[in-house]
Amino acid sequence: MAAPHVTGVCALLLSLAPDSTWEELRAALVGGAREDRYTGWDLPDTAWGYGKVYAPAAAAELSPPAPVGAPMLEVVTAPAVSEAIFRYDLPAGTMWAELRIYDILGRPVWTEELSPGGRIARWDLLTSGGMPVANGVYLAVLVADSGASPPVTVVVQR
Amino acid sequence: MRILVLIAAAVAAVSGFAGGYWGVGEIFSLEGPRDGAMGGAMAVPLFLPEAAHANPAGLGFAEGIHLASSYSLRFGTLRLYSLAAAGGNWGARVISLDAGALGAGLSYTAYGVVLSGGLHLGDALAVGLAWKGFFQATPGEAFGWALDPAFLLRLGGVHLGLVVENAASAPIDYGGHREPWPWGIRGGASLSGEIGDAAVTLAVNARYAATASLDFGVGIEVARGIWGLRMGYGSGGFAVGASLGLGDYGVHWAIVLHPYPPPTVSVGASWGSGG
Repeated sequence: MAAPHVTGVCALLLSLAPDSTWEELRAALVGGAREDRYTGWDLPDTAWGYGKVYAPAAAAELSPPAPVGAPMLEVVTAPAVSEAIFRYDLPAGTMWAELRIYDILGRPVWTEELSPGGRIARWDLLTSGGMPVANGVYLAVLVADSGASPPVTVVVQR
Repeated sequence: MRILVLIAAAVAAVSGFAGGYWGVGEIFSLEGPRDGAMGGAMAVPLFLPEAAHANPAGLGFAEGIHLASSYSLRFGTLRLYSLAAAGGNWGARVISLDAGALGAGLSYTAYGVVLSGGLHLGDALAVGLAWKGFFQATPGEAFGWALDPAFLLRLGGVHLGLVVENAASAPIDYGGHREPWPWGIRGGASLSGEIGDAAVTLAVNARYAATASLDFGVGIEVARGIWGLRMGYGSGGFAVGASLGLGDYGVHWAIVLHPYPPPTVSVGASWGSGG
């Protein structure tokens, strides 16, 4: 059942490092495999092998990221009336990034995975559950494998 | 206790809540150094004058005069100022939330005013009521208010508290755009005792809002001599704090470690006389 997923990850790894040998791909898959409460914490075993294939860690194994600097985030819409638009920049080598919105109590409100190659992010002023947020101030943070951006204050004012 | 729950449910049902917005009026949930270090577990009021906004029923047992002021730097960017006072049966709090200049002429400043009263009905039961007024100065003016009925039951070292949030309200009006206050229920308990020569208080709190948000908080305070140490965990993160009491005066400090945003640091001072 895992073969299609593993094959897809192999394709991603080859797109990242086209000259990799099969031994290097295998080492990256094994080294990047992850354990969780389903696999147990004593791998490898005969049921789960080396664990669950995990593309970001496998990519890091194959080509260790060398990001320089921290992620950058700035809000473009000030105040945000119908949506908040952000401009972001990620260090080279960043494999994954998330935009996270928190309320004034520090509670997570909304999270979205961003494309490392993108530059613009949008928040539609909804919670993760789909409810519109109240007017006020919120905090946006760009979290990536290369670090986190300084927080940005977002003012929502309809 | 069953009567209190029925009263709370009835008030909440009557007030109603159709749709709305997530997080309306959360400025009133912002805490100072003492209640913040308890993880927000303040449905049972542990301090005066914080009872004025935490659970006004606690004012029914208050004696003397109590004053407190605090300053919090939230996430390294938002500044919260608070001034509170309480006496026998009454309490008040004024808070200011200021995000400072945000560029391009944008700023955010909002104020909250709480006026509270409490009355004890015998040695064990007290009821209270808090009026909350929300004022926004920038980026546009806004105003709205809400009422919080509250109950407190004292059974020896165990105290039970219940607050019905926004049981009655006038929506916050942002010059045409209106946001209703969601009703909610905040309940909790505290257990006080002594271990050696230290006074120990354990508090727990649960809060449900009609916008389908559910928060929990738990905190512990150990007080010995002039020192008080606190530790708590709530929806905002892990908190620790301390107090130093010198006669009628006290100074307080707390830090809340959020999962990702920078920490919130609070400092404050208090004065109280007459119990």
